[in-house]
Amino acid sequence: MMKPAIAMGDRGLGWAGDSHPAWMLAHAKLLDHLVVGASAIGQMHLREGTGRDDAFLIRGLGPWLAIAVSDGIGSRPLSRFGASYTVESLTSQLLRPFSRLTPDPPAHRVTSPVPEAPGALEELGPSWPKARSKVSPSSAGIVSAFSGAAKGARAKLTPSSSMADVGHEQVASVGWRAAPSDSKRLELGDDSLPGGNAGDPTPDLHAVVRAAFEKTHLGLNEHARGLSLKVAELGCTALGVLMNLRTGGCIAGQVGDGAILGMTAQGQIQEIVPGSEDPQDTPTIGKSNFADFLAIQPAPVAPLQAVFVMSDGLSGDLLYSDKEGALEKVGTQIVRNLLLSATPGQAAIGLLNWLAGYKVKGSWDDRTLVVVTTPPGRADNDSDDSTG
Amino acid sequence: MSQSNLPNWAEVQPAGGERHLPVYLLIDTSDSMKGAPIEAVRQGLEQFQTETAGDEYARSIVHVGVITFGSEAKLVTEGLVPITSFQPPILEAAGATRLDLAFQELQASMDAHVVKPIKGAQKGDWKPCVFIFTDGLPTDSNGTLTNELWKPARDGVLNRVKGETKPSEVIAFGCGPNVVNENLKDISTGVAFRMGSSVASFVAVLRYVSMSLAASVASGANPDNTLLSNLDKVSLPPDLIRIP
Repeated sequence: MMKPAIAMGDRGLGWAGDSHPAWMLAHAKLLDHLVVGASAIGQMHLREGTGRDDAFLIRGLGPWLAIAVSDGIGSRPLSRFGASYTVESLTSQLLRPFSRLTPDPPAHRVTSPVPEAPGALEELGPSWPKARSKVSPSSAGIVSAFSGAAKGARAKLTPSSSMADVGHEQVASVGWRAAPSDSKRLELGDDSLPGGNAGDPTPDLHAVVRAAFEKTHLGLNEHARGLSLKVAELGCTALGVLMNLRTGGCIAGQVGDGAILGMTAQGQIQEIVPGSEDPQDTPTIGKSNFADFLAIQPAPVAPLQAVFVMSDGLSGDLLYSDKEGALEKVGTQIVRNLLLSATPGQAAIGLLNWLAGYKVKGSWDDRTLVVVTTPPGRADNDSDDSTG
Repeated sequence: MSQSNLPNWAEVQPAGGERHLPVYLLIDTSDSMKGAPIEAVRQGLEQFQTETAGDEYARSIVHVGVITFGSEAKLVTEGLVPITSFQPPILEAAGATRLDLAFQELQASMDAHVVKPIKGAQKGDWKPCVFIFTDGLPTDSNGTLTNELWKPARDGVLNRVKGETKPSEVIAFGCGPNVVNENLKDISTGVAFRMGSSVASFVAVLRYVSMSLAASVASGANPDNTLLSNLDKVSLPPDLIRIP
């Protein structure tokens, strides 16, 4: 049976236009984990009327969860095209070893009760982050950049010169999946996938992560060619996490800045992947020598109370304080606020508004954070080892 | 921490820490700069301070170091000074054109004054931006033209081992009849410019520099790779010519 799968977050960009929104959020309840992602445009981009360069995507496949965060480099106006491609590719490649594209046999289909379509869309609230973008009478910025392509000419891909809007409006697509009470659907057919049942041979996760980064690197180069661009114009970082939500096992890979952190049940936080020791490095996954900067590490303990994947717009504000316990305090507060939220949707909007709104002098970059967490107690009780 | 059973995002405040953009101005104070040219530089520095400190974002992060070079080189600001409190130094022109000594002062200052990030301790500065203003060709202490001194000193600044601070860009501005385009391009890491020697020229050029810095800060708040690309976004003063 095909595993149910999810995908949420930023989607890839190409010739169809720059649809990258200024703010993005995502949320899901998977097994007993709360998964929340949010990405907020930086104050400087808002001031200049340019777009968000961060991207994130979350994919789930059965018990497996793949998370990717990417930060397009600021000097390249089209780097978000690289960041969005990277998160699509990296999450897809991380789950590829666990996927079987076989249709459900008729005997395994759920016959009763037939679920009803959702009756109402949960309102996520009007409290979108306040925008201080320039007000311009022209609304042609994004459209005009691609009018040449629309006319049939293969116009050169150029960045929209400004967000050129008089406000920001919500553009959303929302999906529903099987409710937790139908979790049997997640269990059926486990034996058809590696890593599904205890005792099944699990792929070498280190090799899975390495292959995912290598294929993403190659694919990014091909994506650039398809857009008639040099890969340097799509320069971006790449942070990826592969988790097994049933066992709590977790492994992470990273090229470039940002951070992947794990929080234990005792509230201790540490980097799962050590960041670059040379702060002058600006490695990106498109570079031919990206493998020299690729770091892959399993989480030191499992399961973790929470996993945080973030771009450097946030990690720069969290990791370099000399105040003892500052990181643990913020991490604990974030997890607590997420778990206290009435719904996963409210948790996501709270996280997004926080990312968009907190003030630190000189901190004007895009901020992206994905959090996977469970209610307290689960991390204490489970004692699986750290591999999936 | 709040003990209510409702989320409270307002209390979640990252500790943060400040990060600065070091900007070095290397200024030729050799004998040929005496008189009007050195006065023009001083006025240009005043304009630079005014313009940069006037940008709400740049003033929060730009720290300035001024290195003069004649027969000797000196970091006249004695470190990196916040742009809001930067006061243009008194400049005196005399002697040879020891660009090599200026690069050595630059390297020493980058090691001593540019803050490196330490996790759990402090945010690091961005890579320094370096602007060089000269009206002639580099010399030795006797005033004899030579490339044997400044080139290795420049290489020492740019080709540093991993973990050592190096500039994001070195941009040379040449003024007067004695500068050579190829020499300016060799000094720079990317673009180089020719400019006039008047007060208005220095004022306009340093205003251009400050606007480019503000624009680079604006482009995603990471000036490391953005200064060059943002030089093109700022209009060139009339007598500032980009060397192809």
